Amino acid sequence: MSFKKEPCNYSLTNSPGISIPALMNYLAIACVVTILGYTGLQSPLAYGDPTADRQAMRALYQKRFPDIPVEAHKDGVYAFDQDAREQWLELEDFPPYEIAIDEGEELFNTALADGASYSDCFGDGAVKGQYPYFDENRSEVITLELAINDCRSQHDDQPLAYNGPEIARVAAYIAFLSRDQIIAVAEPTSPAALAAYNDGKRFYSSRKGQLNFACSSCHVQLAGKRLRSERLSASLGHVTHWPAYRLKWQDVGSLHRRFARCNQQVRAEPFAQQSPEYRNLEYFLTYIANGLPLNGPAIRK
Amino acid sequence: MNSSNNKIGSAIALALMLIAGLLLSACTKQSPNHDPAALAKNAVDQAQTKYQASEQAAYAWVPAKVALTLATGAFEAGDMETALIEAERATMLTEASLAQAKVEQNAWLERFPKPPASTTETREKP
Amino acid sequence: MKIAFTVLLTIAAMISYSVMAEEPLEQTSPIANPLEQGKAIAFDRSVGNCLACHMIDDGELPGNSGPPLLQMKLRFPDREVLRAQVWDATVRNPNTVMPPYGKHKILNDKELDLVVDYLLSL
Repeated sequence: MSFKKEPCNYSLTNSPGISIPALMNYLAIACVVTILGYTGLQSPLAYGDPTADRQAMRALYQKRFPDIPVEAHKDGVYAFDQDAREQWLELEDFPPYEIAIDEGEELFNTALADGASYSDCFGDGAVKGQYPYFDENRSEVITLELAINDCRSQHDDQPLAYNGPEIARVAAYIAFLSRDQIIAVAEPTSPAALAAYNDGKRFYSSRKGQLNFACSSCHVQLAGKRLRSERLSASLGHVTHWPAYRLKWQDVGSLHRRFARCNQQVRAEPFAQQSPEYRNLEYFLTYIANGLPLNGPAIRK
Repeated sequence: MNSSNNKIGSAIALALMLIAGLLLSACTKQSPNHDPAALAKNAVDQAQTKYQASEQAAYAWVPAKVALTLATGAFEAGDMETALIEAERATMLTEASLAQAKVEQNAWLERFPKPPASTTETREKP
Repeated sequence: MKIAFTVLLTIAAMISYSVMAEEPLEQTSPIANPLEQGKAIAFDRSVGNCLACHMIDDGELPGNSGPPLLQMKLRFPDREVLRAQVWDATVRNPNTVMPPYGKHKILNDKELDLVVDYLLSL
């Protein structure tokens, strides 16, 4: 945070009735407040800390959906749209993502180039709850998909394409093994971790595209309302169930693929899967969802 | 006789030179502005530069990219009229997206949900 | 000499005319009913898509994110106020989710006018 640039040289003249030390005090506070206002983009203080953000989001959805426990939002719109929920539960009886999980298991157990396998990196595979996290040494957010490719390169193998079918299958198998783990992203405290978190938070709240929507426009302001016949879900449940089987895709796909689609729907050019933008957004959203259980893969429209 | 002939001759010569000069300047001014290929190229280049700026700001728009792609495609195919129209459209859209980027630099902060009342007071203290 | 002079003048006149005549002519639409045109723009998902958020007339599966569009002439006695609202609703309310149809060139001026006239007929 820089104190240098801001104009704090208020005149001390023409201020009868206030003692100089009190005035100085007042000015100091006024300056700090002004600086926080001006340099909001650099100052973590001006954002509110992550704990306050998480409380604010939970409080908002509690108020919006008073009859629904916050944890229920893990099911997205099916938490509050009863008709849609029944159809969804019927689909989940014979889940179309089962094949993807089986194929993921096969890939998971296939030897990598140097003879090692994914289990050398991920043990029994039930690790989804450990991601994303902020790696202080690399100074970036590590997602499960990034870790999968890191594992491959550690064992002399080629990275998988982030928009391809294979990585979604490996991730689907890992997600399946990790069901019911409770999301518990460590609170970002270092300046670098806070910067990544705040970047995600800014992305979430910034209006983009020709249609001028932020993530929060639909999922905070309009959460629970309908666009045409579709209800808008609460963001608390946005990260719980990936990779998801989307009926529109007829396949399992990643959270970042969904981010890209959201961006395109408001006519904003999407970012690449696993770009810093989307990883930071995932980091922010997952921190906000702390306390919710993982339930992927799941079916979504 | 001789002198009047000379006078008429020099007057005509002068007039011709003036007109020639005017035409020449009109033509040289004209070619970059009214030669369709040069006009289109100029417009496409400008649209491209602006669009790249919007990409760098992370505020690129899909319709701007669509218009830019149409413009470059038309330019390469020799359809200068379409290239010009689409390039101008891309520029117009990109300017709107850059304006959005500017507004959002601060506007987003106001939009984020405020913490419950009990925690609001501790927030603004340094 | 005189002939050469005339030729040059003619060329000059032709050039200046061609410079002046570059404005394209405004095209007029042959479709008769502007209200129908406005309705089509308002309902089309890839154009106005007003039904995404607003209940309108007989539009199928409207959203409920925005208020129903009823009695618009009563709510907007001044046409320009409604037009400004469709152009950029964030001027009146910075928090509105409504896309700025004019400012962001989602609709062109003509489409915007057709939509506004249609809305005022509701």
